[in-house]
Amino acid sequence: MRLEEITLENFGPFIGNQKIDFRTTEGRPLVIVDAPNGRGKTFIYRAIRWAIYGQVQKGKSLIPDAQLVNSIALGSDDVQMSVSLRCLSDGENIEIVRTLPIDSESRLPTSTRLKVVKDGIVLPQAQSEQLIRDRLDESISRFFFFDGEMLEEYEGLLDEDSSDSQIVRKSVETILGAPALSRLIRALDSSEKAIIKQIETSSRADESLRKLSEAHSKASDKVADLETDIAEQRRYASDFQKEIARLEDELRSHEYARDIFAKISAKEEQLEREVSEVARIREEIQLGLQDWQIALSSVAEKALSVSEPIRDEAFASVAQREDLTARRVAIAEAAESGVCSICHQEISDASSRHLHNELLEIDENLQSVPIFEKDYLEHVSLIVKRARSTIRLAEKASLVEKGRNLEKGLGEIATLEVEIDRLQDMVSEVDQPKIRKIEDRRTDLRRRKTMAQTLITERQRELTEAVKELEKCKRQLSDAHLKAARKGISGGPDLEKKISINDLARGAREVFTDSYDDFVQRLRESVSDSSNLIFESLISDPGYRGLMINKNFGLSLLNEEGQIVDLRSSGQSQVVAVSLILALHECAVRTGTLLMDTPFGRLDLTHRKNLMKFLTGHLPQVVLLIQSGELDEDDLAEWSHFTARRYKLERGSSTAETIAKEV
Amino acid sequence: MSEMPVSRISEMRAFQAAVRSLSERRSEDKDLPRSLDEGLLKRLLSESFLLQFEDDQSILERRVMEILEEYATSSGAKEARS
Repeated sequence: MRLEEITLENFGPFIGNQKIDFRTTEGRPLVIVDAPNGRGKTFIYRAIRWAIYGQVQKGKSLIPDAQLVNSIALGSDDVQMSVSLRCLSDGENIEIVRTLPIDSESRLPTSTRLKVVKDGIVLPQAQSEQLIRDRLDESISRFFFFDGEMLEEYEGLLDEDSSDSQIVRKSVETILGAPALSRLIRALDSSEKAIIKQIETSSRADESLRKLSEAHSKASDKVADLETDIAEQRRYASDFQKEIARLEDELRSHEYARDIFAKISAKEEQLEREVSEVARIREEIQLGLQDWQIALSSVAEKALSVSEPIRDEAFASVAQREDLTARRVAIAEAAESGVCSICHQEISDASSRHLHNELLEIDENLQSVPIFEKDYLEHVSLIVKRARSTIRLAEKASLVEKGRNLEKGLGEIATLEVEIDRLQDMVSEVDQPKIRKIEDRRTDLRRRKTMAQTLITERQRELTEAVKELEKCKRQLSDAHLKAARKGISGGPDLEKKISINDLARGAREVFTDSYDDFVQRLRESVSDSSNLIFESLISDPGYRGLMINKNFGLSLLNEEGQIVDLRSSGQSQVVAVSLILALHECAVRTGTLLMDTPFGRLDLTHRKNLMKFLTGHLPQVVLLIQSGELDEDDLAEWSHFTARRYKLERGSSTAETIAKEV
Repeated sequence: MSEMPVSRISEMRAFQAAVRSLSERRSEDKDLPRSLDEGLLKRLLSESFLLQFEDDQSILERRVMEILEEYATSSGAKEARS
């Protein structure tokens, strides 16, 4: 189904009626809508989905219709939201119009109305819905209209056991046409059952046929019972899965609080570590201080033993110098005056000589007495030296550094305590036990789902045996009926025809059942081949061997040695996912417009160019919803000769209004 | 690239797989009616691919029964003639 034109009325940021023309021409397959963030690019994608399927999802949750209505328009009288989509499908003009009237009094949206017009004729409701399913079933829409969120779903296909990947796998099989074969097998089985019933009714008279019929009925009942049981267990498993998904949605709504609880718990662990680190540093400091004290007292004792005799000697010397100096002064005075200072008599020449000699002797003695200031300083230096060694000892015990660490640790603890208090304030209103209860319930449901799945596996094993038995009975019964009919026991030509139809139905069913796995395997191979070719044209680094497909159609990236690249970058993941989508688009049972929302988000310049080259060279119509910056003006100019139309989304009179302008 | 109502490629792949299965079963001498041929397989598959997005499975069941009846009648007539 190819999109021709969309008209948005009061949808998202689009007020009034705004049109975007999606028509492309030969050689110009691109329609580009570019807009800065928040201008409503994604609302175009949502409008298309809403018009066709009547609902829009964000992640796994449905967006209520009321949230899609333009907030300014909601305040006006006599207003409605609608999206009209003109398409071309199988050579027919299809117009899909979905409308949501707003109640003029309550200003609340009422229920949606769908109108489908085919080649100018309005279809009845049931036919409208069937036409949409027929032309673009929702299960395959992901391969035509997709956004960045969907890229992660494709990565999820690598997890073969997850329920989400089963859903995507089912839609992959749908787009490749596998259900057409499985539904045919079911239809042939029903035909067989219906004919056997008719045959049995017309040949009850014969005893041997009756016995065979009974055996057949018994085997058929057993198969039916097992099928019912399996269906019931599947229903349980599906109900459990739905409930798990609901709980996960609920948990997601508490995700913010859960994140904070996780942060608190991490901070508390960090705090515990810091507290124990501080305690360790304190203990080390304590031990260091003891060592330091011992070392210091030992050094001090040594300093004392050295400095004490020096001090005593210095005192004695000073006293001796003072005594000698005093005597010298007295003698010098007497010698100078010639009168004895004691007896006051004149000093004789002999005495004067004696005094002179005495002065010489005193001077000699003074010279021999050491001047202690200098030595004292030397000894003080020794003490200083010893003191320094004491400091070095203290440093050796890392006391200074440990002291700093201690301070740092205490600071960390204080910061963490403040941070934890702040976080706890943020979630003080949240009911943490309730979250735990939901998580417990989810765990219980997962366990029950696993039990149901185990039971399904067991029953399926029994079913395989029962089906074999039923096949045997069918064959015996069919042969017996044919013989009886030919012998004229029962039925006649009409019965013979019924037996012949039954044989055809059974044979065809067996043939198609045998071919199913072969068919799906070949589909997988063709998807693998296509995605590898596309991947080669997209990837810029030649160092990859290619892609490997799994049973879910998930693609693993192989390095040069052929080993799986476990941890892909976001860019690699996008290239792989885009390769798969384009391959499925190529192998799909339907063709149509490819609409990509934010397709280049994680791609570098080379990959962007390669992707553009592929899209413009291989597809007839590609609508790109890009955010400003994904492709700059130079890029847009480079691809302008492939561009049929380009729109810009601009801000209107307020942030709630966007205007789509063709440029 | 023009749009097709159903992908002939997938339908062809399903048909090729069915033909392989039929030929294997014949070579193993399994009990299959002689009138079960490629023509019937093709018609059944074509109908199923045409109705693959039809919600009501009973429509396909009715069509399958019609084809089988038609085929049984014409092959019966052929056998009678031969």
